[in-house]
Amino acid sequence: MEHGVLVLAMNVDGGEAGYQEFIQSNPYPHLHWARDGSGAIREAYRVRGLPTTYIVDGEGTVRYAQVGYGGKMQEALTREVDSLLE
Amino acid sequence: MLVGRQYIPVGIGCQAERQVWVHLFLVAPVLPYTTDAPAGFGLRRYFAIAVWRGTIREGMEPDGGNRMSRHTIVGLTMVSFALLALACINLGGASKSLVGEPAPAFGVQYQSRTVTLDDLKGKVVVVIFWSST
Repeated sequence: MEHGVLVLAMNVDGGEAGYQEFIQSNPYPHLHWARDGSGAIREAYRVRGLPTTYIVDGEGTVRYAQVGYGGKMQEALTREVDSLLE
Repeated sequence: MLVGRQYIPVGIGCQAERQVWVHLFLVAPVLPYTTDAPAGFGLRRYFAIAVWRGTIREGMEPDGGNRMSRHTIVGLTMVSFALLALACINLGGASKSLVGEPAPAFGVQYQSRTVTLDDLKGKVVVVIFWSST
């Protein structure tokens, strides 16, 4: 974890074997991998499309949501995280 | 006789659980003419729009009794686009409705222990739901 930000990559589809293979072959050091095998977390977060990205602030409140990839998604994520860290 | 005429079926997809039926519904109006369309077209693409053209060949032409009129095809295509728009609006709205609300609690296995959202309080947490398939 750096700068008070944690990025949690939550796998919600596919089997355990595929998930393990993927994270072994994609060793992104700044990502924290997790798996929602039951689908309960996915349901609680009302995920209807993949990828879906949420930003949760330090108080546990959802501050941002994005379904899919947007053209300016990276800028939006950076702006939102920066504003929460100020 | 449609054999020899050009066709331009249009497919549009939206990466989501409902993508499949949206895609199929849109293609359905021109289905008799899309038998040589790329397999799996549009699936797993986000707001992908593609057009491909070809020539209707022998065997691709639907039976006369089942042939849809141009008006029917245009009408069904317009309905398909409307349904697609509604589906995509719904997709965006479903997640955005959580903005401003407390994040649902969860616990996940991480490095041989269970980590909960409460454990991460004080940190900005970016949660990305993804699929490896």
